[in-house]
Amino acid sequence: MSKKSLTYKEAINRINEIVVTIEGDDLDIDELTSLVKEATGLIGSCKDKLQNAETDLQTSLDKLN
Amino acid sequence: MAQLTLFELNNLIKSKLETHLAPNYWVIAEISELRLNQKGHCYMELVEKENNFIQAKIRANIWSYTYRTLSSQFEQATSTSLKPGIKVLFNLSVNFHEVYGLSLTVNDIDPNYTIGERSRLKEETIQRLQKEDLIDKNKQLELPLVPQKIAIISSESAAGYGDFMNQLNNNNRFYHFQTKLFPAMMQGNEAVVSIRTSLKEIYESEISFDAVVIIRGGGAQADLDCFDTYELARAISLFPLPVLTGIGHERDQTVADSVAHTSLKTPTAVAEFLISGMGRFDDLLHEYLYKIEKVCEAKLIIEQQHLQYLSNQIRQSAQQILTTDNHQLEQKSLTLRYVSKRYLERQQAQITTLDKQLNLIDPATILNRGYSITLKNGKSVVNQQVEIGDLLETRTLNKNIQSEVTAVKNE
Repeated sequence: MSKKSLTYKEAINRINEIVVTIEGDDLDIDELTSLVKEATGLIGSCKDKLQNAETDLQTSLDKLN
Repeated sequence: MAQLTLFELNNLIKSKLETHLAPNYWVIAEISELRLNQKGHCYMELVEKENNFIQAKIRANIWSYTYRTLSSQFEQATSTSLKPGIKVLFNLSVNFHEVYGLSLTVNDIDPNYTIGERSRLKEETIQRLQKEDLIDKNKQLELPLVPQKIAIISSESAAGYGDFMNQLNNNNRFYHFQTKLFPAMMQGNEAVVSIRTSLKEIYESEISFDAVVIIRGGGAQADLDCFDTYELARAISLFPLPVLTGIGHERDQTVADSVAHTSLKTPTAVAEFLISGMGRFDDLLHEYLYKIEKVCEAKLIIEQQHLQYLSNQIRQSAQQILTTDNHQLEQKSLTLRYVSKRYLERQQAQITTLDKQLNLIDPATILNRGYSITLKNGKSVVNQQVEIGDLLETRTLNKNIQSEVTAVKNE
């Protein structure tokens, strides 16, 4: 999974793209595995971001104070 | 020439006014100044303006007892207090006092006029905003899929702010929001400037917020006129981030609500809106996860079936090869047994033949038939020189005869 942090929108677009691909195309198991890994990685990081306090805003706020 | 004292004149004015004027009149006037004294009496200056030019002006007062009743009725009906700048329909009596001069005393107020006046003003403001394409400007901004960084404009002590934070931080799905409060006056004359200052601070902040939330209130009906002003509406409309309002009022939408990206009734409702937005995103993630799982499951089943098929194929083929080989092997072993048996038989026969032939040439057989063998020095005489005097041995079947050579004749 790419390390740079995607926005929620970018993430969900990519996830959607992957789901469409794996639902539509007849992929071999290796391709499928790597796409699924990418998608679940994105989903995981989104969920993490939804609930995680450690974000850049906190850092910025701390800097201001 | 008749002369009057000043008192007489004033008295004359007073009696003329009393006889010629009705006991009271309904008069529309704008309050230009208003103050209360310690006893609770209210002193006002009423004006009528035409294009900011004062056409008429007079003092008026409301006695404390009347003021208490009227002001609370007025506030209840209009959600605004009696204050400079608003137009009011007063029931007035004209008084003339010999010492204090002319003044008006308020007997009653019809709040409906002010309500109508305000809705007319509000309507005008909305029309102006419409004409300037400002009504939908903020609505056209895209609210981020997950608005998580929230700038809040409110008053720190406002009940609504507490409700909002409480609702946001105690959501049952454990979503995390990052909020920063930009404190502002949320009512009264200074509110417009104060809220606009906060908007400016948000704009200049180095934090890239997802949305701005303007919340106030709850509690008593308060002065919400600031939310109907053109200036605030314009500032909200042109703000580059989506603005969400939860002004917490029960009457109609304020103008600020109508230009906001999303307007909700209360601060709590704004918090709910943000949480449910996040919830929808979260649900979407789960939906995708479910789809991925289903695809993987189906794919695995297919792959497994394929593997099963292949392994069956392999077993079958192997079985076939084994059967064939086995068969061949058996065949070969049969052949081998047969061939070796035949070989042994042939050998046997040969041996028998040889045995017979050997038997035939065996000297014992010859002796048996009555022949004899003559030897010289233990060897057959046939291939030896025999001379007279040699000792010979002659073997027969049953005798061994010694003799001496007396003559040799070659034949």
